[in-house]
Amino acid sequence: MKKLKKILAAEDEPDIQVVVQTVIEAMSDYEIKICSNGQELLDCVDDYQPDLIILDLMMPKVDGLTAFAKLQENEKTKDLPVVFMTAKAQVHEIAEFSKTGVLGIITKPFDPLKICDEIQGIWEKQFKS
Amino acid sequence: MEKNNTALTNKLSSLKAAYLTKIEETILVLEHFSAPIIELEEIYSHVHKISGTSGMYGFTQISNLSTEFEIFLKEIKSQPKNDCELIETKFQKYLKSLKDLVLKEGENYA
Repeated sequence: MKKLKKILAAEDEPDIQVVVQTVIEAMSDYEIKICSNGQELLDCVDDYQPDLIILDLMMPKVDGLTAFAKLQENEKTKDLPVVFMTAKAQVHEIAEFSKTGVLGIITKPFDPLKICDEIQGIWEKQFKS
Repeated sequence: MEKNNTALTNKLSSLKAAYLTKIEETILVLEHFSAPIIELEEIYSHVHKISGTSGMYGFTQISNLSTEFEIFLKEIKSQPKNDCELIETKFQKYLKSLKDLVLKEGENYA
């Protein structure tokens, strides 16, 4: 199983950014870069070369679904595993999101102390038959 | 995966207190909206942010209430109603309940 090292995330809410960055740095060996919207993520994905992408769905400029579609259109990024982050209010859409080919979905609010385990669990899913 | 739990716990506690202050400030902003139906998009954006973020900081009751508030606002957005007075009343009720919850949580950090 390939080890998860680098995560590229897009999340527009600074209060979530700071918690995610803090817990991942404190509780894991992952390297994480957090962008503020989908466009920023798309602009840096080639240079950063992440193992995994985490996309918040509701963001300004380019939202999560649009960013995902653009990643899929690009030969260099179409096979990158992607995880969506979505609010509890939209959980009824999870079945629809799953059909898009995302690796997993993290629902908000999430327990920050468990987020590393949740990410690792989703990551390992792709290696299970 | 845990490296330094005490430092992390302290840091998260500090962030939590700071975030509660931020919610208080957001409620002040919401209180100044004079016509919820007209300023619905902006109000919805504020409430959605609280709904999605407060639970992560452990403010479960605030998260649950703001999610309910968000759903109410979403319903108005998708099916605009003519009963402005009823909408205004419900809006103020949600806002007051949210404010009361935030004040109650704030006592833990006083």
